[in-house]
Amino acid sequence: MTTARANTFDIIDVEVHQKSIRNIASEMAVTLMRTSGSPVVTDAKDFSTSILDDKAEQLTFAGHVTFHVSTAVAGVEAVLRNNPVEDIRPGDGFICNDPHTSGAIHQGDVGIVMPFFAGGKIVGWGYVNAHLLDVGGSAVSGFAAGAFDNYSEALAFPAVRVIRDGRLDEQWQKFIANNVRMSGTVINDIRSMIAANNVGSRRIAALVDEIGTDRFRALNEEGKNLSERAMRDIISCLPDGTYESVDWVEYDGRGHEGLYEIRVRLIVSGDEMTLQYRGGEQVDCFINGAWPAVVGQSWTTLLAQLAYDVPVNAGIWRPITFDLGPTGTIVNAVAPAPVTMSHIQTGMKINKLLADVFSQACSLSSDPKIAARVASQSAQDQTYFTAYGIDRRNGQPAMAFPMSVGMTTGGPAQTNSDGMEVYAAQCMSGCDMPDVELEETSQPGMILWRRIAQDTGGAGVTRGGLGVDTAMAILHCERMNGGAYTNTALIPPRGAAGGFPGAAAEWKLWRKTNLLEMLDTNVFPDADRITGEVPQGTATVTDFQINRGDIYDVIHGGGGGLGDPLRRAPALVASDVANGFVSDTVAREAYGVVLAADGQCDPAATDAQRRAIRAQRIGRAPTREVKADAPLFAPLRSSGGAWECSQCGEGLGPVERNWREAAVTTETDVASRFAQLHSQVRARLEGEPVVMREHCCPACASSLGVDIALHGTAPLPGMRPGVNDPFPADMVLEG
Amino acid sequence: MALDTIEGEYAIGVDVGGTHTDLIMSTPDRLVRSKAFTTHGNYSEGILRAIDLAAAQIDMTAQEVLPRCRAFVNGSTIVTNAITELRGAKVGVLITRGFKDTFRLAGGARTQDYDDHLQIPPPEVVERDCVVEVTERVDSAGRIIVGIDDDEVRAGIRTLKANGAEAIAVCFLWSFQNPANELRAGELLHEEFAEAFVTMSHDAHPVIGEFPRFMTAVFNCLSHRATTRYIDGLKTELGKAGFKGAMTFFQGIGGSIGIEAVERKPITLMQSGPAGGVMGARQIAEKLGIRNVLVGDMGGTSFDTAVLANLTPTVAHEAAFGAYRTGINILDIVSVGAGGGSIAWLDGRGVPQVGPHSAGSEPGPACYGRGGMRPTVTDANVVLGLIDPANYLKGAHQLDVDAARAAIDAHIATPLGWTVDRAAAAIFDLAVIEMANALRMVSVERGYHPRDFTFFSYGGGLGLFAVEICRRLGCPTIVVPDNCAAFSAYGVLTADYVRQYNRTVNWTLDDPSGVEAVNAALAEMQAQARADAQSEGIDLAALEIEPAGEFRFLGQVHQVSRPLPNRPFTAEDAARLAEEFPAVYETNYGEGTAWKGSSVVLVNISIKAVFRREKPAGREQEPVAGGPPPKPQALRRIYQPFLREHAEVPVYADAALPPGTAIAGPCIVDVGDTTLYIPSGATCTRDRYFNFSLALNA
Repeated sequence: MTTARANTFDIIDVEVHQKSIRNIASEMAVTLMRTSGSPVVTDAKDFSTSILDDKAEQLTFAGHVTFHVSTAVAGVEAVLRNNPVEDIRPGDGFICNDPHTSGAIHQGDVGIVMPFFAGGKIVGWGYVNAHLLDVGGSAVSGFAAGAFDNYSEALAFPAVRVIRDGRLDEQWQKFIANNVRMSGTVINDIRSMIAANNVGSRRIAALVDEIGTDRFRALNEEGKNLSERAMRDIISCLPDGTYESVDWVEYDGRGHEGLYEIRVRLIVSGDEMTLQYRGGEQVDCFINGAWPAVVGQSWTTLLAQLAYDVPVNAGIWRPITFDLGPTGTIVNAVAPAPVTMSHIQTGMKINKLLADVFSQACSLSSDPKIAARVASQSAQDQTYFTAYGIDRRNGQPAMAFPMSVGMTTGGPAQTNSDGMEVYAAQCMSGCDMPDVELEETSQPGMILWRRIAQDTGGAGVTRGGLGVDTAMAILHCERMNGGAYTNTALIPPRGAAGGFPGAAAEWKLWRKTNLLEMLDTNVFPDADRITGEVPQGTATVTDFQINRGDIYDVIHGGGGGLGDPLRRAPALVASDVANGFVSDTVAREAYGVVLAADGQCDPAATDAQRRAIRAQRIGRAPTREVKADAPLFAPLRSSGGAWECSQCGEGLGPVERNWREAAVTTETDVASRFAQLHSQVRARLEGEPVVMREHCCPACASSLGVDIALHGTAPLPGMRPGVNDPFPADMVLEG
Repeated sequence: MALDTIEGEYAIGVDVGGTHTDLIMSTPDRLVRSKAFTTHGNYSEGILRAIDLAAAQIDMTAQEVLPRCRAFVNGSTIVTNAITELRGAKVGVLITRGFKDTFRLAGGARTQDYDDHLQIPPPEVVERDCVVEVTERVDSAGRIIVGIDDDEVRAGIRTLKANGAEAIAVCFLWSFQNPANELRAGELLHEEFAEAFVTMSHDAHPVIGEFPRFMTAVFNCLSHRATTRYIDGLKTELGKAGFKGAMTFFQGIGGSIGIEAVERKPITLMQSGPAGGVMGARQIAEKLGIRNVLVGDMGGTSFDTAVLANLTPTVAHEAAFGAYRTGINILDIVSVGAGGGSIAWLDGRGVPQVGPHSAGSEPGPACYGRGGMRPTVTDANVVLGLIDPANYLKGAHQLDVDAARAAIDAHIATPLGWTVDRAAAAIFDLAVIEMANALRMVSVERGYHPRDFTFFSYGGGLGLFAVEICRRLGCPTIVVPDNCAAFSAYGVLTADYVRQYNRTVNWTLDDPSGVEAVNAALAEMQAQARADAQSEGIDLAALEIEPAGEFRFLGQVHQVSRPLPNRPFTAEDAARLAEEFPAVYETNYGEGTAWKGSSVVLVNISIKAVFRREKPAGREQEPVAGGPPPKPQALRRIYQPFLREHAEVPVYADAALPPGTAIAGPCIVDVGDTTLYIPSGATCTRDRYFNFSLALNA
């Protein structure tokens, strides 16, 4: 730790200032949350508030949705680009929701930017962003699964002035209301965002009044310097080197099971890092990542995994370089690429890739605090549907957007704990899951069950969080139309440090069911009594139709595991089995734990089973024992220029080479391997299958790493400590 | 037992806290206070010790006082402890089939922190083999889709019994709309498991939203055993000593109720102690003619604060404890980790921070000399000279100044290259900022400006910070009440009888057909309120009924609470409330926020039944102004944190400051169990009730 000394101010003054600015942003957030009517805001907490200075540099961020760290900056920059600053008056406000022109994550996340004036001059900017219930266009609630270009997706505002004197302009209000579904809620949410900015505007003016513009500016700068230094301290604890990972974005909405490769390289050099992203040419469906989503989701993982206690402001950006490569790729998309799932498709793969590369670097760190940040990938499958219809009880428009369904995914396994349930997506800090009774009030249907799905959490020393199985029946609309989505059907989330992958998501639609009949004749609608048709369909459905009596049933994915499951404490496995989180079979096959009749671990049988699994992993009896004090979460270390298995000390080749070359590798089709593990993933029916590659130490048979990849592709890249090897600037992957 | 008819010259209020049991006793001519250590194995022991100490001050014994005691009011941390530590009766749950994971999922337990290490499964509040699913279902309209199968439920009850459940929560979806299935399960429980304590969710909290409703039932079950033991133990011990008066319990909502009601709904005692302080401040403010009050209570580990606008405390609806949302309403008290034992540390940026970690009472601050090595707020006060190390808590602890200096030097001063005094001043400042921010949360963030409020400061340590906190907030006056070191017990003693009843009605005001249903619900709740009051011997003629409603615009999620007329509702009332609502709403949330054109929904109705009790008088003396200046008992060298310079300041003892005395800062007032620091720029006067009134010079 370096000691911070602000140049001209007592650091306590800086801290007081920082806290009071942050307090203002929180007050803006409270105003928005209390006044909004949309469960997307009040429960899912899909919103954020930011304050920026007159240079459009961030001063604070009170977000729940961490990817808005980037959109706040891009939104204010867009306002300044589009509007001569001398024309901007107090009470003006601008709307920004276009990923291509005004810095939005996707069109559904609408930013309202308003200037903060003091003494007749702009001293800063307020930025409030919320996911609105609808933004018009072909999509319901902004997810345009069928769009071929951004023009057919939704309304897209390029930082235009729609607010005068602190109020939504009447003409614009009429225009927006005329173009969106559920216009009442949408207009009210825009009003709430204006109210939040108005609160910020008053508080900042009072603050500047009290301390003067010069001191305000100077304290802002010192605050940024402090955050910059903290960020640099964290980066310094990561070993210099190049860390790389690869993953595939999924889209099968037009029948073809597309997988689109993207790559990330983390280059650590002293107290600075570069994050490089590369992908193939942008595509004509909504998965493309534009700059705001790619950089925004980078901040999500940076904050969750590494920089969780650093106050967010422009200082944290300074030691980090984002390199998105050439424009026109799926990690750096430009118009006319469709982008309504920018944050969820390419964006959430970015979270997973960063979990990989940060964990690689953390696992080699000698700093215990940083080494403890190794984590698996979380499930964060966003598997849900949105649909629009007419409520048969009152003839009013109705929207189905069951929020709880999108949240009940398993969290990452971490060094301090098993993963949590209802982790949602990594970017959704503080989100709540709506109660069943509230869902049955706001949605035109009934929730039949909401249960933890057994064996969905990846096995490891710490287990991945579990997915949840939820079934919702439509009861109050004869027919609803919209889209159904998932981002994680074919490629399950990976474990780390030798942990196993978690389950992917799966969903089905029951049609022509006996549900209405059961409800009318007082029969409990349990899963095993439901009859009907379950058509085989794509994971993403562009023209989703759900009728009265149909049942949407989703089983969410789980987080990956962390560390070799053979080293999980048997008592924890026994308790997982007793709780129904893990089946007997998986306890035996993945964890090597055999339970006696009383449900407790049978130590002798467990020891034998664990030895048998080790022998099976490498095809022979291990030649070395795992040391009792071997680390649980860092299977590899470099020693004297060579890789070494930290579990037994076996050498694994020179550090210049990929350690995987020295491991015993078993490649299995992921669908058949997951069937053995009771886990869930869609089998890919066309092209190369998705495979699971288990890499084990040739001497002690410890699990060193479990990869998910496409059959026929090269091994995943290894860690390269001490090497600074960036991607070429113009690199574009094969599509 | 008729509460308001029992005779006796004495009355006792206790606040049984985690460390100390505070007691206030009203006697025919004055209030006396005492403090004893809380005895966690058997609370009665510590309580009796405190009674002895108080009785001794009027030359009596507990055995002499108790037979002449008309009331014994308990504020107690037992339920707070059971719930925050999840230690209590083993709870079994009967729950609607398909939803047994409700408690594990906890309504989504993600915190607002970015740190993934904090996103972990919440602690198990119900063991999973004690959750049994029942094949039953009611729909959102209250229609029974599937009724109870008696045999299945009986088998489920036997499973719970076999798995060791002691108390059973019945948790069915939509039971507040139609409780028939829960009621039938309750009957079966009575037949199969008569000895079990049972709570049905529709009875505990008949309000929409199953997770808070179920948690209310579960926590009620969880806190039942500790409460019963406490009551039984105390009844026996006080009975032995001759107590024949009424025993009542102070609730987190800020009023007291009788034993029978507590035994049925122990969860109402959640946060009972801190609520005592708030209600105590309310009593005194009313007496002083002050209408707007901010309260602050600084303890060893935390700082609690609340706001009373126009003497009305705000209420936290559906209060959450950790990851668990409940349906209970308690006084809205914001707590931050800034107490005397809060630890000062340097964060990753090298910036000093205070709390939320606390050294607690073991090992305690470094200056306690009991092994604490890390600097705390109390250590900073000792280093600054604000606390007399020889006379801390009337000499209960001898404080080690060198240990305090060493801890601050090692952890703050040396790493920053500062003097120890400057580092101590920084810790003092940060504690002030934390507390000021908490006060800001309860005032500014709810639309109140501190300049319109008086700050009531109590708890032993807060008098050192009160002026600096108010300087930051722009709050001009401070009252440090007499008995401030046992102030929660004072509030508990002076409490009125208060009971709260809630129900969901979900009435869109422009639908005239709803009037009848709402009136029927109100009438039922009133009848219940009267019956409950009658069973506690309260004169119904003096029972005040305060109905209130929670309103929102159609389509919104959060409600705004408003009083309702105390008479049957009319269609005109509905129209008027709907018309007024936008303005009320904008007062809460700012201009332009109302959802103009949206219907207004009355979501929940509530009734508060209040019986006002006579308040014991404290000491009083006609103030004499213009007397000779008071004599300090000593001069002390301190380091003034705000000015960052040393000064010799006078120290005054309690007796030197009779009503009417005025002194100016910088000075220190040492009244034994509490110390006030009056910095330069502030003045202090003593009022006729022996309260200190502090003012910042304009």
